[in-house]
Amino acid sequence: MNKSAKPTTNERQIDIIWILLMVMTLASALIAEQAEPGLMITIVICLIIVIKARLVIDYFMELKGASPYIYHLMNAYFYLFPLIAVLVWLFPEQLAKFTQLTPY
Amino acid sequence: MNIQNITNQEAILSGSSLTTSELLEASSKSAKQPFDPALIPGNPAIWVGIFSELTEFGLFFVIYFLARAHYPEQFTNGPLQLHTVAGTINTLVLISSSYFVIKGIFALRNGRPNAAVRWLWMTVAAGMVYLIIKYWEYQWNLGNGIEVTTNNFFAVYYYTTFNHMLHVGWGSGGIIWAITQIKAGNYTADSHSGLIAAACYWHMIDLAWIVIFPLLYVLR
Repeated sequence: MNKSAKPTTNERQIDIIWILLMVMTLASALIAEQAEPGLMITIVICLIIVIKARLVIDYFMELKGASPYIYHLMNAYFYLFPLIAVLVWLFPEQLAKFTQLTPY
Repeated sequence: MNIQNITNQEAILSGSSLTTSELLEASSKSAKQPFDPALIPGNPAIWVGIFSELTEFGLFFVIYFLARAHYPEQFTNGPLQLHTVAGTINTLVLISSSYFVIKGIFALRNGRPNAAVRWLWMTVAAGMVYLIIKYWEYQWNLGNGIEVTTNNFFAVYYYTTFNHMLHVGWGSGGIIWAITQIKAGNYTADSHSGLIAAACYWHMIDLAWIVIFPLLYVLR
């Protein structure tokens, strides 16, 4: 049984998504080169991760029409790690203290 | 006048014989994603593999976060010493490789196996370009005195990117296998779940890099 032939996208969409992903990658690189570190920059970078991951999952992997378990688990992963990145940027000392092997 | 009356009147005015419940149900269905719980792209085994790999990468990310919290100065200065252009080009190459894979799938679905093979060879070529750039980047690092033992940031950088690089290597092998199956006539427009499995694995490699690149090259 073929469980793959259920396209939820069309080729035109795919072409546009590819260009969008390239532009967002270049934006991230520009931030890396130009911007000073800060909370807003961190949030923007993490948002770019989420958007890029969603585009790949929805359109390149075509998971939108597939098993909801796979779809939601994949999405959750790529929401979770960018969120942790922001939290670590906000609370590094607390995390360091919490994970210190020897007492301060 | 309640919503039900308005909906009934709209249905009457538009000449439709739909009842309110039918209209609401249709609206609800159109708003939801058309999920199919039985549809597992490729095969179940590849998803066990994909989630195992993502767990492995997840552990690398956890190590990154912990090391970052304990050595903030190293993680603020580290990305500045890396070759951002090499990382950016590799990101563009991997995203393009994912694009070539889905174009290959579309070509096969549309009954153009030769075009599908060409797209998939472009994917493999992109994978090779990625590996060459990564090798060059490591050499450039070593030339600038950046080694695994330089500090904790670079230890995380080398372990994470080297592990990812290995995945690009054997992921390319999966795509080459799919190419041989198309050429042999085993994957057709109507039946090519093996290609979908290889493609999903390849996209997972791209997705992992979508997180790795900003963590190591961009965030400070």
